[in-house]
Amino acid sequence: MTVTRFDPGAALIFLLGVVWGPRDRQQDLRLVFGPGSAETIIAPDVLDDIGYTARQGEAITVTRSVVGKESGYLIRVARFRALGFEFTDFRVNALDLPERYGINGLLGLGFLRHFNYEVRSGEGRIRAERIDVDVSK
Amino acid sequence: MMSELQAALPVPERLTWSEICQRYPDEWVVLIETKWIDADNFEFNTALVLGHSINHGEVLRRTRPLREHVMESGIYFTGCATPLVPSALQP
Repeated sequence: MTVTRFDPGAALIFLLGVVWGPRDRQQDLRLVFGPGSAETIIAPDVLDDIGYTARQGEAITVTRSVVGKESGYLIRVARFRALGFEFTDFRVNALDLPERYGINGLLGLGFLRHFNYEVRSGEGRIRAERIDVDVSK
Repeated sequence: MMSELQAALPVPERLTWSEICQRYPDEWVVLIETKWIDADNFEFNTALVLGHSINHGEVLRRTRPLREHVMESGIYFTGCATPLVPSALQP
């Protein structure tokens, strides 16, 4: 069980995420807690920066949202960490988020489904407990 | 290696997050040598500001040559992110 704190007064729930490149370079990000997103999203320029390319992508994605339709790609990163837990060979959606959002990633269900988690908004805490789910899916 | 890196910076700035937000409001900042208190909770004492820009991609590109010498860096927005985030994104 881990407990991760966030600012309950902020407009969004921000969490720290860490992604590693193929040569073990580490990039720290502030992610928005986003269980409404099927996949964890990371801005493509962050992934490019640590050594990934779109050619390594598994599939093209098209994401429809309130701001329109965006193309991205699914890619497996060497390591990914959030909420105090770390996965290897972890799939993320490389997708541009509008600059004005001020975010460069979103922690989606692709990560969160591996946990029972409790968001305590009044206290600004997320309690997460790992559950037995096949992470290769 | 780090002394070479710091020597290459115009003004090495080791600041707290509060100071960074005050000095570079509503910008993307790239930080290195972060002295974490608790990384999972985004709590740190100070960090070195390697670059800043209102443009996410630009600050990554501009600081890349220096960051090639470090194994860990972070990129964060100092302002208030808009709450206009889609609630249901599907690939």
